[in-house]
Amino acid sequence: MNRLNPSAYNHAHLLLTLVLCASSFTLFTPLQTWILILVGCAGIIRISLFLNWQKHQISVRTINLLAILSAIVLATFGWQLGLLLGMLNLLALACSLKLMLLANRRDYFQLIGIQFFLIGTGLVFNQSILFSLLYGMLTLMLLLSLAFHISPSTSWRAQTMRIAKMSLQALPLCLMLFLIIPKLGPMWQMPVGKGSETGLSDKVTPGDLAQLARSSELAFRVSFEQQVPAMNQRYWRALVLEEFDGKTWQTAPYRDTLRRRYQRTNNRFNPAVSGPRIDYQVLSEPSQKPWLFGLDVAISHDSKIWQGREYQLLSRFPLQSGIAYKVSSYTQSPLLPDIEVLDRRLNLQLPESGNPRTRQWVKALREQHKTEGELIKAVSEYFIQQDFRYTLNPNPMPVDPVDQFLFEEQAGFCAHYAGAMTYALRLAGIPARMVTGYLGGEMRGDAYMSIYQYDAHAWVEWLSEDGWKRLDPTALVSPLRLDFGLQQAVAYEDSFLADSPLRRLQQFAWVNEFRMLLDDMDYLWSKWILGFNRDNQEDVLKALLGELSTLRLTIAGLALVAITAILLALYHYKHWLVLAKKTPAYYYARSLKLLDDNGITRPHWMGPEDFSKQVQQSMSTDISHIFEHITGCYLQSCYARGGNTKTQGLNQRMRTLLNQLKQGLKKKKSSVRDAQRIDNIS
Amino acid sequence: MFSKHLSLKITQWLDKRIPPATDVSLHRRNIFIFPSRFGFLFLVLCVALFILGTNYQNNLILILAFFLLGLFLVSLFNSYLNFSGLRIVIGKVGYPFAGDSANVPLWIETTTKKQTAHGRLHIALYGKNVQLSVDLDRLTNPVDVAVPTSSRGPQAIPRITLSSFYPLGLFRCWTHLQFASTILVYPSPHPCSVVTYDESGEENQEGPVSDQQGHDDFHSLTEYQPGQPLYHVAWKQVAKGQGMISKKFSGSSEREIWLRLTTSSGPQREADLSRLCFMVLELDSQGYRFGLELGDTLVPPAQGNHHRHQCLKALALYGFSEVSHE
Amino acid sequence: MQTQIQQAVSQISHVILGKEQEIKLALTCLVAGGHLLIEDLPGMGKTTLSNALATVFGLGFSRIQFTSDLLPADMLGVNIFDSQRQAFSFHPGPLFQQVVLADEINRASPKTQSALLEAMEEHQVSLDGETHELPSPFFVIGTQNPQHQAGTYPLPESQLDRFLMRIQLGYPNWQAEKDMLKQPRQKDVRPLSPVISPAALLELQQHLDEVHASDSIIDYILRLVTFSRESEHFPNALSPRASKALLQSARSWAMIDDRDYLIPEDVQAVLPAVAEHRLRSTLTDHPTQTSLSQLLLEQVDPLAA
Repeated sequence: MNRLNPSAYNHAHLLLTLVLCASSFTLFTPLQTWILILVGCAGIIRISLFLNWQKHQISVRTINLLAILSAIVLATFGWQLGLLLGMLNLLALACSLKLMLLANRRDYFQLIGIQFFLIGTGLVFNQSILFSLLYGMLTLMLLLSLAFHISPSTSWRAQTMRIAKMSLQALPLCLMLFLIIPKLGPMWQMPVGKGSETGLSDKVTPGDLAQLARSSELAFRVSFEQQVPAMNQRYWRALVLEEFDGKTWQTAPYRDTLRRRYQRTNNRFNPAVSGPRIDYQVLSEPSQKPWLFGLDVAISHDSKIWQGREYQLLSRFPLQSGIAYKVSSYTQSPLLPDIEVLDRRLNLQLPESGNPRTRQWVKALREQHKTEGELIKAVSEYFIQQDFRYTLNPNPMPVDPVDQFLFEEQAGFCAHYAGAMTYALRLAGIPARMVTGYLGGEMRGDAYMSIYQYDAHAWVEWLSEDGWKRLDPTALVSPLRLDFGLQQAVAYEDSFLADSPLRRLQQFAWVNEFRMLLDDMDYLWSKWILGFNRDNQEDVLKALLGELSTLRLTIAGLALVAITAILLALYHYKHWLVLAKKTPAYYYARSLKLLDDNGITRPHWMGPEDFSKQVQQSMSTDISHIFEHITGCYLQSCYARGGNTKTQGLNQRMRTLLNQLKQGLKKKKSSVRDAQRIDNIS
Repeated sequence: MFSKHLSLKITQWLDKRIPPATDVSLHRRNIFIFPSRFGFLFLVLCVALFILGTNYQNNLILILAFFLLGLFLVSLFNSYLNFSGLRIVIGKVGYPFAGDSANVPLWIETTTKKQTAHGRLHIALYGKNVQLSVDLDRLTNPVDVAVPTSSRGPQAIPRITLSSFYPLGLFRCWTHLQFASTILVYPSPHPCSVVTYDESGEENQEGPVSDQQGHDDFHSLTEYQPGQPLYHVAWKQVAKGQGMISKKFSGSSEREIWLRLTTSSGPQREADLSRLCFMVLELDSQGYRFGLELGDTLVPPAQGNHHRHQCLKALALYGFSEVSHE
Repeated sequence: MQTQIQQAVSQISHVILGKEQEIKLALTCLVAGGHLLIEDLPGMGKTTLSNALATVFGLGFSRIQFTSDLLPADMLGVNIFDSQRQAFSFHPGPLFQQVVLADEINRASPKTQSALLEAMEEHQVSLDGETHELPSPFFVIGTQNPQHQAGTYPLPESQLDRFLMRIQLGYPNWQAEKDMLKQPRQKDVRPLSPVISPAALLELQQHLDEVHASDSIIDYILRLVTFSRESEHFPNALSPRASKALLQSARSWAMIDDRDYLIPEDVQAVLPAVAEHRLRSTLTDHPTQTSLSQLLLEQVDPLAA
């Protein structure tokens, strides 16, 4: 059965369709392709209905069939998607089917509601300025669609103005709510979206890090409160990898178990610290992973952050969105192990077999060098003496990777060096571990530092008598890496960001300037919008109100409500503000009132000139003469050609005439009273 | 039982709050406003977005939620302001026959000194489904509301509900207006043969009208009188040289005829009134001069639209004035 | 100019006694370029008035007595074959005059009536495919007898508003009629002389739009017509054509009063003549009721800003 076309030239439906298509295509990673295709089809159908190329809706039976098929497909393939993505796909699917079916008001309103929610979900995945602007636009378009639905025959211009006006009115309310509504922690663990993970992983096979270093994506930003540490001191610790299986380094499972136990009992780690302190704030990009970044012994008092006993900062929840946290670092303070026996045992772990040549080589070294210091020096010297190369393009080393790296390839990325070194130290009986994180960072003026994925780095820590000591074998091979960053370190092979098309453009100064400008905007965006947290909120409120007490907050709240009410009232009763303007009409009305008080009322249908004649008949000549003048002025101003241009002079004359009339009437009244008195006396 | 009582209470309260008038400006006292179903959906959406934003610690989603919430509040004011700019005046109410719908024209003025109202306006009879929706931006006055009628006589106009969802459909603004005007319902015409009486009160056995024809029934030839319609001239006779002769038709009878109500009470009366109604219409459409006698009420013989209205009005009101006198 | 019009009014007042207001309205109608319908009993001076109007403006005048056998051609004219020229030539009928008195217009057949109304509207006559312009100014004064309706064809409601105004002369008052009776018989048809030239009249008509109508006046007119549409007292409402006619007539009235702008009194003065026949179709429907236009005037405040 065909139904009539409700969408023909219906702007509300057109806007809705465009928004659905746009918001779905911004979600092309989390959404499955066949669902995107379905959305596209629905869009095309709706648009052709809008243009009235197609006159009839698709029949309900067809849609139902399609719905059943889609549901089966989604149910089959959707299981492994997880809750969030599954729900998202289901929503998009439902939207597209509903859009094909869209006929009545209820469908429309449901679609609008789901659209807003889809936009919200889109913000989970994309939070950059551009995407936020896009989603803002889509929100406004949805509102425009609603406006068209309610008043269909208003022009686009008028509708846009109306929506803009309402949005501007809503914006202060929105900001106020954003400022005063307390920032709550997550109420429950949300399902994590797959597929968009970026940055470091808790498993490192040495080649991985080289892959990561090809990305120019932002990892995090830091703004220092005091001086900035030197480039070669900026070792941003992220992960401590203590488990090695011969190929891959990863976090020790026992550490995780232990951490969970401590977290359950809320047994926080408070390392003893000493020496100078560096305070800074970190704005992390969403990475979908929990680890955070800090220099050396980094202490954070943020309740969302867990202090790992291996000197590692962790967020309680994976970073679905950007977060901001304050950290204090003690660069001189030693990294003392919490439980030394445990650290020692974990960091001497070795795979049973594999890498035989390394084993032999270390065994030989160990025999020559008895002390830890000597051994480390010997291993380092090997790296220096041999012709090792620092490269972004290491060859794959599938079998006995350490052997291959040390004795055959002798070319690798930082993780290769760190991995080989750690392995060697462990073989020599020195507890050692691999630490991954970032090294360096690009300073942008004095304001903040940006750390990109290509700054990813791995180094070694070994346990000495006074705690864990940092050891960076990469520095031995490529000192440039430390002091000038990756770009300089691999300049000889021209491999830095080789895949990025923008890289060539970086030669031009203005391109770089522009990039920096965007970067600045992005920084402010991350700091004040994405990273706005409870601390910021308190700071802002404190700045506004001074010390935060219940009384002050109450007063401020009441004041806000009062101000809002007053503003709205003023807006509503605008005409109160326009005081009664003194126009000739006003003076004429006053004189009518005066005459009315004196017993001559103008019948409400009578014209001014006729009334003037009536006054002439019933009043003494002087009064009627004045009133005739008043009437004359009134006629001049209200009816004559160009009357409103001479208002000024007329007003003046009418004011004097009115006063004369007032006095004349008073005199008459008193004379009447006198006459009455005389009558009474006589 | 309880719901009946409740609806009675509501009606009484409405009568007090919005008394009958012919000219209503909408303002604080006669406007009701409440979130629409979509408004509630929208609030649920705001809450859902807030939870989503909180759980993902995503400020952007929170901002979206707050923005939508702010918009909800702003929309409340805009909705009210828009609706309060309306002025509704009732126009000339038509005269329906019992069983038909009366046409109640509403003149809607959208522009006041403050602003102009926009959006769609939904009009319904109180407690009934929406009867029609008009777009205030493309308004053509008057808007005709159909009020069903059941029996003859004066009938009050039921409350008329006007509602608007402007600007975003989040709120429904509405009012139940009572107009101080009545509908005069004519009896429904019941087809029958026309029975008339002459001046003396004698029944006209053959009747002036034999059902539908009559006007064209040739009666006789007479001398042509100046001023008579030319199409009544018997041209055949003129051509034969018999002078100007005009045809006389049985319809154009010059006698005064009367319609009369024979029964004065009982169930038969209504049926008779319906028949009389039919007769009035029939005689009027054929251009007769006739009078109407309903008990004490007399409508003197005349013709024309006004006369027809007088007769039908007398039929409609027959019996009602007595009640009101007592 | 104003003195001339005043002269015209006083001249005509000598012929028709005690009817200054009606004479002024008739002049207003003429200046506004509309047509006039006089509805009155015979013997009230309809013919005299129209004759006098034609004379004081120096316009050509003809009178057509409408009867049921009057054919359109009798009024419009005919094409007659001219044997000398071997061609049809047009012989204009009595309608081709500047002032035409269409007496007892409701006695003519609908066909003739509609031919007249069409000519009034179009200011031209179409005959056998040829168009003949009517003279300018062209002013039709129709008369109707409200009584003795037998055998008449009342003008259809839809065409009644082709007449800009409808006035009733009515009986003269006591004094006026007394004066009339005391006049010697010869003076009854006292010769009138032209006061205003037709060219001056045309100029007046052209300058009509220059009379200033302020927003207040236009609002007043709108309130009047809107009230007639909304209130149930009026069986027929005033159309936009009526509001235009009202403005036009008020302008003309103001011009005769030598004012270059409109005041509410102008509208009030012309409203009964302009609106009454549009508000109520025929006189016969409510012969006794009060005037609807008066009712309308009393309901609307001219000042309401």
